Amino acid sequence: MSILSLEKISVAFGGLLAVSDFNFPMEDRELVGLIGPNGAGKTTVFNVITGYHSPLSGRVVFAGRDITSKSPSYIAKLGISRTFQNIRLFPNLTVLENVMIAAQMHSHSSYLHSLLRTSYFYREESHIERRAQNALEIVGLDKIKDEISKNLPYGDQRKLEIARAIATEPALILLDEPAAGMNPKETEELIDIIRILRDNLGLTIFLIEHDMHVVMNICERIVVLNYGEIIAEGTPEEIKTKPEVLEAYLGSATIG
Amino acid sequence: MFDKLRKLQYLLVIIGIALIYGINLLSLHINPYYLQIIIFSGINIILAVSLNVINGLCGQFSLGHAGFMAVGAYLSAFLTYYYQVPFPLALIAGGLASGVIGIGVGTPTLRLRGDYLAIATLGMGEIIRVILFNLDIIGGARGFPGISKYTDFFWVYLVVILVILSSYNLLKSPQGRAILSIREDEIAAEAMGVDTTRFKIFAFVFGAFWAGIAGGLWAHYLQFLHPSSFTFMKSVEILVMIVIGGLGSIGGSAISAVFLTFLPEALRYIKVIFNTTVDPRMVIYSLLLILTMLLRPQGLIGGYRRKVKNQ
Repeated sequence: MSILSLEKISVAFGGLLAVSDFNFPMEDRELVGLIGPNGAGKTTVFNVITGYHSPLSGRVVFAGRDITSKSPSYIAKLGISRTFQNIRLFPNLTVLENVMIAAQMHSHSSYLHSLLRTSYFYREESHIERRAQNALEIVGLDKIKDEISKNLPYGDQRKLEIARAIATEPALILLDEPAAGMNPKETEELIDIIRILRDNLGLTIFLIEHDMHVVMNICERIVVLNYGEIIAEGTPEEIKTKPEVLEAYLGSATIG
Repeated sequence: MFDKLRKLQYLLVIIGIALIYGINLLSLHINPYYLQIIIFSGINIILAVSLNVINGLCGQFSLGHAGFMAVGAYLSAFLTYYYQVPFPLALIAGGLASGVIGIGVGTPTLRLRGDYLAIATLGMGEIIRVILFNLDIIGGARGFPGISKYTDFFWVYLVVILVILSSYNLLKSPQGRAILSIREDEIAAEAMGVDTTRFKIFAFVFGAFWAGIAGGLWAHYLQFLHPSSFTFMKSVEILVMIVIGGLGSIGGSAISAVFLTFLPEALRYIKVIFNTTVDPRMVIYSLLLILTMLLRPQGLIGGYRRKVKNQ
């Protein structure tokens, strides 16, 4: 059974159809890449899945549940986590605090516990901190957990976003251009991190990426989007040779 | 280790209460003029620390604090005057009523951001004031005289301890982190499973509750209430306190509340020293505010962490 399925999703901004008739199932533990030229509607697809946009028509089904147009926080609690294309950290908080906010998602500690500092409060706090710490270790940021997050270098900020996304203990994680702005060394580290997410944590990963080195290296299946429509789908090898894809990226060549 | 932390906190609160109880016994010997400034300082601490939760921690720009204060002031005075309700109960009732108004205002208006929210809360404060102006049972435009004097040093500073304790324990908790995440980036907060509407209302109700109690203390100290005490300028006065102290800093809010209560009083002496007939107090007061904003825009105490970014 597919963990996520998008059924005939269409999204419009005013008169512009950003995504039209998007049909797409995703299996458990799959690593799928979503590529396409700028403005193809890739991020819009992510925003529909995570509840930031309501589709004009169509359904989003996650683990057998219809989550179309539910609130982002509700969807996050069901087990879909994401990162953002333009980094969205909590800039004035420390690295650890950033991840703890994500790690406390399933905590039931109430303000009464916090106010009276009950032993339940301290137990929950140490659980949350341990979970956050684990997430930081996976991306390799545990050494700088007390830094203010806005002071981190760009590549580390991207990694922190990933740490925050996995700290919510999701089943499905959506990565929106995780390699953007990374240098080659950081990109290699990122590829390793993504492999760990899938192999060790058993996550299903949906990835938007422009860096073809990343996409071709790790994705099992690739979907190509152009002008809001799927123009090609297949394994990396198949995608590389499809004329539609080459045309979308490079323009058409009229021969003869 | 955690047990020790909790016991330390409980111990500090007990010591604090014992201390203010002791000082209260001595308060008869304190110059009444000084005592009055000390009591106003305490009430301002409560107002500033509670507004700081809304504006500084949650990042919601509220200008309705005078309105919340008015609800608590009038309701508690009404209860003690007409029904002889015990003072602590009347205070709590005032706080709760104010909290309920906080929910009522928060639910529809928290979809607004920044300036729009400020205008909506300002409007809410004015509506409360106009209603009070027209309620004859609590004096209306004539004011509400004859309130018993229950407020003393002990009650004011007991509430000061409680408001600081509850804010601090809020800040260092999952709920506090959720509230901070809303200030930092609301969209990312949602993606991390933070129910932003719920926590914004929580912050509003928290702030409104303590503001209502501060109002009750104020009413039973002055023994007279008038709607014109709760204008927009009162809200601005409290806002200035937390901005000068450093948005988001509990200690900064408290210290600057004391500082800004003492300052106008201390400046009275300038007139005496220079033997002038004009009173330069307000000029110096405003100059100090301008200088603070120029030299330390993050506030006197607020550190680099607490700088609120423009969104």
